[in-house]
Amino acid sequence: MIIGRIAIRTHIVTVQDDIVEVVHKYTGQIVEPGDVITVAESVVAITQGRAILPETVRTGLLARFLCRFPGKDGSLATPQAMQLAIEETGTLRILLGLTAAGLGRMLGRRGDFYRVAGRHLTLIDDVAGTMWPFHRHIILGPKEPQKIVEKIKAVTGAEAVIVDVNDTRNVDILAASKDLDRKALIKDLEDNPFGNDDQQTPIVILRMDK
Amino acid sequence: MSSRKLSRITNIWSKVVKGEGGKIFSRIVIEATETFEPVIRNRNGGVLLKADGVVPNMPEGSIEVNDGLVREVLLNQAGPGLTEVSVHLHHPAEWRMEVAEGIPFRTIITLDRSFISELFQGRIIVIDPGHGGEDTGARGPVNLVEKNVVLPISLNLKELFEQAGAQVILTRSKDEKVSFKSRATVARDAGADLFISVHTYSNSDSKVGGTAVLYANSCRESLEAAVLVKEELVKKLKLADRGFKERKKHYLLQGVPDIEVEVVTITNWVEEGLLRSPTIHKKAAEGIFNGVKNYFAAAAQRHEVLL
Repeated sequence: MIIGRIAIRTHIVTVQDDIVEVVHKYTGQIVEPGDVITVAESVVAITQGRAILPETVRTGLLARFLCRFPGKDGSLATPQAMQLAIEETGTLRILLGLTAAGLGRMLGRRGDFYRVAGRHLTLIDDVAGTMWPFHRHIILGPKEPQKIVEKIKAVTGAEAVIVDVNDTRNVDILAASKDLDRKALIKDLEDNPFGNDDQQTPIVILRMDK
Repeated sequence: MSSRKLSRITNIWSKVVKGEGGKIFSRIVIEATETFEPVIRNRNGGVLLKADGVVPNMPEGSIEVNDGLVREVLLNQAGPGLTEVSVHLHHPAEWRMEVAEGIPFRTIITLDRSFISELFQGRIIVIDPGHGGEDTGARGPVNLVEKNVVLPISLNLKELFEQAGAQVILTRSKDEKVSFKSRATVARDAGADLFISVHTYSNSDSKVGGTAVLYANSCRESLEAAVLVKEELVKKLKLADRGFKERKKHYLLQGVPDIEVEVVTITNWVEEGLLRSPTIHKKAAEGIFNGVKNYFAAAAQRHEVLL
């Protein structure tokens, strides 16, 4: 059972940082055996250079055409975000996804696009106005999250997870070191202990009852 | 030195909260790994907290707050195992401190925002959300329309002004067409101290973006209000500064300070995206509120000098 949640404020993490080093620097003196270190997926992505300014994206004809189809309030409604999605998953898979979505819609079913084109595309966050200086960036999902949690565990000795948490109580665990009970964790993270926008606390240590 | 484990400050955050009786406070919370005994006193019109046996775990330096009362919180290590947290204020304020045991251990500084309430006491502010009904205003590259985004910003702003004790009149509170003339009549009849139109900018070039404030030549104070509001809005939104300029058409409210805020540029790909998130509605309202607060503070200061 969780008995405390320690939000860790860091410097502004950028592509110059190594995420494992950042976690080690800020939690090294604090973690105790049995703790779980949770890291926000967007910050992992930022260190991997996956925060992208929309004006630097060269959009192709296909992206400009396809961005008319997904939900307008979703993350792929701009040509820039669609272009990045195409680059992430390949033209063929995007087209298959849109075909599946079209067929699904006729059957009254939702979510077929991501089922076919790839779950990782749900991690693309369109500009959100939060996390300055990345408030004007499109942020892609992190690469190789499982490798990162294992490295964090190796250097800190604590269990680690990478999560996508937002204010609408959606918790998505992207990767967790092996012994964790994912279901219990999702419940513990539902109220978004990372805070939102400008709190700059991309790491939260969960202290467990021992 | 005791053998006790050093406490580490892991986070400092702040929030404007409503207390008993609807009074409004700024709350600053300092979170640390272990219990310690903070010593606190007034310094330079602000508050200084000293903590022995404590080191920063987070970066030292400034945390920008800008909530109208608190400008910033500064964290620094003053010596081995000695940490200082200083709170810098825009206006004088009474404060109290309490601690809460737990993981993390919290030190809570609560500051009274009465100075701000006094500035807004008896003030009548008209907020004018642009467009409405069949008059949609500008349109973003994907699908947002101006009339729908200026309303939530205006409602957020209304809440902030009312919380501070002002009387607020909206020229529209739903999606309806309101004539130019009746918007002006509302302000005139109310005897408003300030008239604020809320709009977004539009440009045929979808790369152009940013924030601007326009002013009417209804009276000298319009320009002053525009300058102060723009400054605070740019600080909050951190978008390009498109400056301030005189508005060509205006509501002819002789003697009533009259400004038009172009919060963001809706025709910009990125800024339309920003408008989807309630975060920007809230931040825009906070920026406008801070600017108006500064405008009333400057007026109060002038008044004092005259007396």
